[in-house]
Amino acid sequence: MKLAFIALALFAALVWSQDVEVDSGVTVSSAERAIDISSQVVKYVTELHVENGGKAPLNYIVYALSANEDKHLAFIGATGDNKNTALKVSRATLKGAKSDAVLYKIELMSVVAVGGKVTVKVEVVLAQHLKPYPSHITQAEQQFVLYDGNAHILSPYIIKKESTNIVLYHGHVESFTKAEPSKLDGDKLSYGPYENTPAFTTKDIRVHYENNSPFVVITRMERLIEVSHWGNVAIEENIDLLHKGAVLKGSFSRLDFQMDRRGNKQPAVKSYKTLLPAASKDVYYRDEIGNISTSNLRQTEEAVELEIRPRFPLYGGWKTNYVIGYNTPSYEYLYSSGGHFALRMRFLDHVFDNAVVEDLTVKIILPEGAKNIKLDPPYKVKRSPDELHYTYLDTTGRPVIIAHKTNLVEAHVQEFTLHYDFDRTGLWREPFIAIIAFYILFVAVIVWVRFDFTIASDASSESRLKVQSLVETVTDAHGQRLAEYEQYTDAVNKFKASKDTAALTAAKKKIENDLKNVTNQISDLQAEMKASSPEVSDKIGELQRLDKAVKEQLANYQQQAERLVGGKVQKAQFADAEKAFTQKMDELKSKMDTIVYGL
Amino acid sequence: MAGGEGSEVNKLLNNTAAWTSLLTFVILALAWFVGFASRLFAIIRFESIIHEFDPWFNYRATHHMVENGFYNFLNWFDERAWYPLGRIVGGTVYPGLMVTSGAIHYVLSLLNIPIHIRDVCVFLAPMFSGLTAISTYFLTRELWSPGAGLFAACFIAITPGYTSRSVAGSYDNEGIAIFALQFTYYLWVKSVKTGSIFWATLTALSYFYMVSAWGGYVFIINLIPLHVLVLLIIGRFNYKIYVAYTTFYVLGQVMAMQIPFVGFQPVKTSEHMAAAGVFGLLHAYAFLKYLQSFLSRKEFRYLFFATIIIAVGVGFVGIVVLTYAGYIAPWSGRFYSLWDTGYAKIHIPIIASVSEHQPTTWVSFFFDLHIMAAVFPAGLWYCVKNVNDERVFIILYAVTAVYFAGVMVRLMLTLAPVVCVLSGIAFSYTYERYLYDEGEAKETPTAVEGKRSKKDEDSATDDQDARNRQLYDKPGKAKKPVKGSGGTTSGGAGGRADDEEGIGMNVRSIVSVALVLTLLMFVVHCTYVTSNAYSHPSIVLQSQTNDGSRVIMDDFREAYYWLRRNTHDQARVMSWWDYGYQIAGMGNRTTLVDNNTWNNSHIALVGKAMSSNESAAYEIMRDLDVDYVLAIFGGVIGYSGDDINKFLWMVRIAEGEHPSEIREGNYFTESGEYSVGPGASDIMLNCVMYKLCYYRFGETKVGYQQPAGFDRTRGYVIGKKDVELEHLEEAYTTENWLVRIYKVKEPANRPKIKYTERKIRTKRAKSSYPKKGKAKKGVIKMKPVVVKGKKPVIKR
Repeated sequence: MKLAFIALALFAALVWSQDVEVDSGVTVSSAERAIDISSQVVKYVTELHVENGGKAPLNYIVYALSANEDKHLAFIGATGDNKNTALKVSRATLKGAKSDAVLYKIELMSVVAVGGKVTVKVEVVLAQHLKPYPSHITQAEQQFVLYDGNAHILSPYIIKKESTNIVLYHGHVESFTKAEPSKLDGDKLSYGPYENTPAFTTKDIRVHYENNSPFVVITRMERLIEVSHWGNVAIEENIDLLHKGAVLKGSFSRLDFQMDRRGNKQPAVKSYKTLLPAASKDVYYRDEIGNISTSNLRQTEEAVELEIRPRFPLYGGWKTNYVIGYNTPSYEYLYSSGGHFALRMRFLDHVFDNAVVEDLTVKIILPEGAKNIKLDPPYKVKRSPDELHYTYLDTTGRPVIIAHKTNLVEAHVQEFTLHYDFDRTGLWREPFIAIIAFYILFVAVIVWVRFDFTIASDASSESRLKVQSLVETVTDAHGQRLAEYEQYTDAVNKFKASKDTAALTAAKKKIENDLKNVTNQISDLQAEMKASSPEVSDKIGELQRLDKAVKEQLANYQQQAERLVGGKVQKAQFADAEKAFTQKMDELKSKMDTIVYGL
Repeated sequence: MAGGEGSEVNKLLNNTAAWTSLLTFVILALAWFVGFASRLFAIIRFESIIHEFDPWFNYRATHHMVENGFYNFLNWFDERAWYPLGRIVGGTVYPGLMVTSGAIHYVLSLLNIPIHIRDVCVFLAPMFSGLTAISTYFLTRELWSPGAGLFAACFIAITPGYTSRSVAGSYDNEGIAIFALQFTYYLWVKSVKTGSIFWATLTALSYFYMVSAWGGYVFIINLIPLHVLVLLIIGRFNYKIYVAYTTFYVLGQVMAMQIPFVGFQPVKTSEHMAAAGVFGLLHAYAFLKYLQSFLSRKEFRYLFFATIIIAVGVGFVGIVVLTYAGYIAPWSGRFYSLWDTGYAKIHIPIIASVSEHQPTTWVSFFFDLHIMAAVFPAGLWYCVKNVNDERVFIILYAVTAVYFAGVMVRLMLTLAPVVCVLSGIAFSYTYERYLYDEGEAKETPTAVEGKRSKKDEDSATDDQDARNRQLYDKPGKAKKPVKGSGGTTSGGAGGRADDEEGIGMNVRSIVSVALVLTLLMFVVHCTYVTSNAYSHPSIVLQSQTNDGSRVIMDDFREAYYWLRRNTHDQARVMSWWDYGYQIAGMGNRTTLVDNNTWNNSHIALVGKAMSSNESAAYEIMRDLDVDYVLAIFGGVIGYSGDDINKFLWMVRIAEGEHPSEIREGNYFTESGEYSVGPGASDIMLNCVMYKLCYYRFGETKVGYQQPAGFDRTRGYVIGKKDVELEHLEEAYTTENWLVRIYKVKEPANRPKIKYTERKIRTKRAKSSYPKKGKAKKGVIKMKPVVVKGKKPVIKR
């Protein structure tokens, strides 16, 4: 089993790595290596000045790392004379090499002719290479770590002159391997210069020194990018943290923590800064049980600075997790040409300085209907099959692009490009769906209200409704009749002034005619209702009786008026009669009103 | 042409029915909206979060159901609670709440609306408050008039008595239960009115929902029989009631038994026997009514009394015998405490220890009901004066609810709805009388006809709008007369006094304006109370600094999250039962006791561990496999709800089960006070709870002026500053020391016995070795010779 696995690994190595050759004539005239071990990651910056003393022109050089270093390798990159363009770096094997060193082929921008020179700067970041020692400490103790390395620059070439400078954490150095000439000066340790080092020379060194910088590792991170063509890109990061430094032994005392004078030099993480894109807004920071209320947000020119304080200080071995999310305007990241779009965003964004991400998953949710999707990552990533995501008003689902990568460091903060096609009219589909839905709702309500859905007809309620409508008609008619009375009175009053008998007669005729019609109408209604609701019918009968009384009064009043005009009665007498008439009319009217209201 | 159009428009404007329904709809919608909005204070100030204690369990259960499906939820055995007993959640929970929010979540996810179940839970109670308002409207409309219904709906939407249990995040049974209660009562009144099986069946269905939602369903199953009984006694029996009650009773009880937690209780417990008795009595009565037609008056009277006495007697004796025989469970202790407020304090301290089970003070009546507390008796009086079958019901509801609310603060919740209904009636009736203007009578009746009910509603809207949105009212408009609303709105109001014509215009306007002003003040009060008293999540504390900025103290979540992330998944946390649900919900760790206080002796054991000395407690903790002990300590920030203040209850509950070991008197000072200050007794100063809270507290200073070890909550310096722990070790303390978590140490490899306690005291026991400095390397005498051998090579 094991053998088979090894064979498989070997086969894979053969397939993936390329064979390289090292010309013994090629030498490194001078090399400087800067090693930064002041944080949790180990950074090598090696500047190699290569001389082509061989027979053939040189189009690549080879860089070597020890097997132990390669195991922790997170990032390797190289630049040539032009500092801005990265050179292509790939793993390689050397035929007949005895050393267990792992080789990387760095392809140069231009061929170096025989006798020519080239300067290459190689940047290497190792993650989780430093080992806390002792591995368990108490709250009051400092954290010490071990760095294992090589005093020489590992190289397949002969190095004529080399030196190494190591930057340590500002603190106590317990011990370091001496390899003359080596010197410790404050928090700087230097090895070399050495001269004429043969190829693949190793001298193991070990530095045991204090390092209280946060050894917090992001064990899992899920980055969700949701693109909306309405002008927004929403980003959500789900982060699991683990302090991988020396594990806290014994108790955690809040009092000691509060009284601790070491400040930031405690081997515990109290807070850190996350830089978000400058235009980001609506930032949230929460976990499974709600907001983490201990954070500050600061807007600067280049970025939005979010000071994150986990719910509790992270001591060695302690874990936490949280979600951070924000919105950014899409015009910063989304480029288009017709129906073709390209999204350019960072594959990994800044979480804290010198961060290490063990496992990153990036999910990009595109708008519904995006087609011809092509991901162009900045480095090799593993793609999972695309998924579909359903959210508000989705019908066919939004395509989700998923990519994984393990072992990332800050140098991996680079941009990817995602190309896809999207029909712009698709944007209006969802509002349209909403409109249709409301339309259907309203139509349904209208249908429900206007139609009768009862299975059996309810006679009593139907008749009640009928009576109600009849009563309404009666009320209307009654109102009309009252208006007619008013007109009659008016006509009589007018006659009093104008003494125009003809006009009065005409008006009277008309009004009486109208009144007759109305009264007949009411009588008809009364007859109609007699069967269904005798009570109402009786009341209407009462109304009709009152109406007769009103008519009498009116006729009486008219007579009085005629007499007055004819000079048959005195004015005072008429006034009395008029008063009586008004009173009587009011009385009758109010009686009628009461009846009508009572209906 | 134009005229024709105009008249159409006029017709539309004068369409009374349309206007009335539009206004009703708008007012109810506004009531819903305002009820919803006023419950969001906590969300706006803090965040969308579950509050308090019980809601955390409900949320956890809902979450479990959403993740694992309904049947797995019913079968859920929660091994994280009541360690080592566990809890059968499916059978000990009212699932209505979880099912409701689960169903909402399910429907929304079917519509592709991605909403987290937590948000559904947080907003469930405010949503249901709107439904409560609407069902209150219907209930009041059936009882009195639509106008009163609108008043009642607006009252219930904002009254603090109901808001207290239904703010956003307060995800508790009561949130949906009050809706179910009101709706059941509405349907009951409707079925009494119509006597139709249809409505009675609906009542039973609604009752079923209520049973699934809240233990308070017992109130319904006793109130409805009481209503029927009273109707029988006052001679208002008719076959409508017979149909309504028998249908409701049979269907309701059968359905109630479908809830696993209720099971056979409807036929087996005393709480449900009244309903059964009335069921029997109703049949006996109906049978007698039937016989009446065959018998002479005298014979009938004789038979009547004989039958009734026999029926009652047999029923009563039967129930008593069955109770003694053990077929029917006797009244539970919680029930007794409803009749005797001192009962719980003596017999079940665990019930008495909950603050919401205390008798209500008069202040809290005013606080929760404001003006309604004064107005609702008037509504009750109107109902008594114009009594009919349904109004008997609301009278009984009011009387019983007032009694229960007086006994227990918590039951204020059942009082609030009926108070709203009756106040609605009172206000509506008063306005009908006082917003009347003779002037309008002179208008032509046609015009009045159209305007009349519109104005009626209008003025109601004004009032309601004014109250809802806190608008300054326009008294002129409110005064605007309404003619004859008695005719249109108070269909059943009946007795409108004839002497109202005698009330002068001035009196009318003064009364109207005064009422409008009180209503305005009611709105202000409700908003104030909701905002200041009932909108605190209680797991997030807030304080103000001197410059007025806000400081949030998030210690609870800090500690729970620490537990969640940094302890072993199976770790068992011991704490007082109050925090059980939160530890399970937020910390996701096993607890020993929690807020579902079903096992008193287990709680007493935890109380005993907290109140005994460390070594005795250690034994208990080892027996219970405790890994961590959690205590809430407010001495640093002055938080008064901490464990030291609750400690006496722990002692009392422990004493109840272990009277030989724990005695309450031992924890008092010599003068008989409860104190942790210098005068405190030794037992107090050496108990685990004291140690948990004050470990290393003696070294701190909370302020510049205060001496070290000054306890802010108690306001004095603690009695013993050098607290030492032997079997416990501080594992985590939150930023403001509010939550302190201790790890229970493994037993020492070699037990050490203190020198003073040793039976055999060797001379050299008192070590004379220098503790510091350079001691010489030890030499082992007669050193055994070690023969170095070779390790055998193991081939794999």
